[in-house]
Amino acid sequence: MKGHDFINSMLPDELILEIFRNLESKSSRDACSLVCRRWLTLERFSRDTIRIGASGSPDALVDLLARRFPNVTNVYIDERLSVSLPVDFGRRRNASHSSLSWLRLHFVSERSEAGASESDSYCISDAGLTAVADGFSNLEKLSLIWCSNATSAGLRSVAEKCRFLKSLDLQGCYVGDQGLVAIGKCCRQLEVLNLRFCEGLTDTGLVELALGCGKTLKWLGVAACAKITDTSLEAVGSHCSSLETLSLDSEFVQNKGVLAVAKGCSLLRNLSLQCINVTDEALTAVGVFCSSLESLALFSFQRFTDKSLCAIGKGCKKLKSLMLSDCYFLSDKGLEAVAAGCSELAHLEVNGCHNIGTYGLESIGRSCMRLKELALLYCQKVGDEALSEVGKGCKYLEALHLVDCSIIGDDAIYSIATGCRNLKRLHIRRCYEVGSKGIIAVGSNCKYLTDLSIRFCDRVGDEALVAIGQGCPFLRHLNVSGCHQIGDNGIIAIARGCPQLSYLDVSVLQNLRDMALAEVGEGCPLLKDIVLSHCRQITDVGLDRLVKRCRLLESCHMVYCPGITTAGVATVISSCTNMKKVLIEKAKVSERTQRRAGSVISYLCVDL
Amino acid sequence: MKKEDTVKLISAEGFEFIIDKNAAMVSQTIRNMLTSPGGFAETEHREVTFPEISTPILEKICQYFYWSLQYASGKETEFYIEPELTLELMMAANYLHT
Repeated sequence: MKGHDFINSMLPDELILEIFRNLESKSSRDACSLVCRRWLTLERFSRDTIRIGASGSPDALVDLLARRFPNVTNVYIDERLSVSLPVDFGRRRNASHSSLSWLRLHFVSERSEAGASESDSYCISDAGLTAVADGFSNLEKLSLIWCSNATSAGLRSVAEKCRFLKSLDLQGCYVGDQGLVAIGKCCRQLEVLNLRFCEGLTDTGLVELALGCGKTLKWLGVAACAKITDTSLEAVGSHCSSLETLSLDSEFVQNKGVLAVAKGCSLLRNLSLQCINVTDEALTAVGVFCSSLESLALFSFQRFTDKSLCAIGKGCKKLKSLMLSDCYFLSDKGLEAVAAGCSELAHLEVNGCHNIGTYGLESIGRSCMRLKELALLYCQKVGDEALSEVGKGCKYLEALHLVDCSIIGDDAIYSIATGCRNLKRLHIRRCYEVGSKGIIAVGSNCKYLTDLSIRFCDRVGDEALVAIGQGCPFLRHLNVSGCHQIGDNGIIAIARGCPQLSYLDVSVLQNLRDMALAEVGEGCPLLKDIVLSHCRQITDVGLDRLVKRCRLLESCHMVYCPGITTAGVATVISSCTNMKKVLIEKAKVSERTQRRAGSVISYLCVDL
Repeated sequence: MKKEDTVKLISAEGFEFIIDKNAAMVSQTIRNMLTSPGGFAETEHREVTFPEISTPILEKICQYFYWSLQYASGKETEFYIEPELTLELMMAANYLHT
């Protein structure tokens, strides 16, 4: 029946709320709020998350938000983010968790009431924290990132009022021990605690917290806290028996502390350590006691030797992910032990471990059948044979990253391509021996490929891209920056064969001409990002043909292109309504274009 | 400039460019060489040879280092690259991880 509103007359409140629960983006929620008063009330009732950046008069803002959204359970205050004022329509810089709802700040009216000085009141104070505690009594997750004016007093009021707190993130806040003690006493359901960069904390605070709510704690992060020492870790080991994840970055922790955690937290699943004073003794203990360990990340471990890895290989049979960064003394023997013991290994990253060579990787290839992701950075000693073993043994490999592996060449890539048919992401940079043969093999065999990046591999030519165009129809991301043997033919083949392409970087390609860009325009309508910098032969004509067809374009980098002029830039701006970033020289932007879309344009960047 | 604050970069033809250490560190590769505890010979003598980079390119690279420092400290000017140099310059930049 025309003109009747069925939704509002037939659906009860609970159903509408249920529907709203499925809305994920902020824009959808905002749109629903604008429909009618009933929907506005219901949407406010159902919103469970708010995010605030550094705002003017934050205390008053929190008050307002508490009144408006009574059922919020997650509050994220990140004062690294700058305010987006409604007048100057700027963009928010850091967008994590995009699936949760956002809150835009319309506090222009509030500002005129606030008497406090502008510069001081950008940071939330203890009074503001008290307002959070008073207003959101069902608070489950609180995140205070770099809130420099928050102290223990504020944290104490939060502790006392929000007893159901499950997750607390205090990164970069200078809170003191009393705050942590209060949390320990009152929030007995705390599961997640992030204390990275909380420089004011000492052992007292963390020990008391462990005593208080250690039983439920599952996730703990500590970094750059100079006064947290082994004593705290011993308390954690004694009281936090459910701990599953520990992330530790400290120069002041020694073996004793890590040993205590290893012995006490037998359910430990994820461990990330960056502690230069810890040696084999501690990691061996991890191998012996933490049999549930699934992921291990070791950074800058100057003092670890193969002995540790052997212990890990023996004891942590469930290990799925291993990350070794700058571990100078680890060699093939250690990696072999891990390979032999941890057959579930799915993710391996070796970065800058100069003593790990071919043999270690060969054993991984032979024993770890479930390997899904392999990353080798700065491994100058790993040769082709290693990757051929990986190709033979790891049929489920999905991602391969090779950076600065100077002796890896075509044979290696060929073996990977023929053996790992499920390969989805391949990223090669500064591996100068790789040429067309390897990439042709990838094109012929890996039809599920979605991401390909072969930067500065100057031996790769058009034939390789023709093969990719023919064999990889799901390709979304292509970066061939610096592969100067590639020209029009290669790119045209990609344009014709990969209709789902959304990211293309062809910078520094000297032989690329307008014809290729025109074909990309025809063949890849879903293109979102393109990098054309340093392409000498591209002119306005090609650019024009490209942007007329690729309407979804969001970013375009085109510095150092002598053939592109003001007219070309203007065409880009006017054709692509979704454009978010254009990188171009200042001189090429006309007055009119500047007026039209100034916020989107960035000028010459610092990188080459 | 004191000797400890400088680094010598040598091109394929043997031309030596003595530049400020901070400038050279713009390149991640050079930075790693000079700060790694692994004991690169370059750390000792503070000299790095680039047998694959020709003199005009290395000169442009040094200019880029200084320009980059200036840009980072607020002075926003444009860096001009002659079109003929582009390809070789980009390859060298990639090698030096800048």
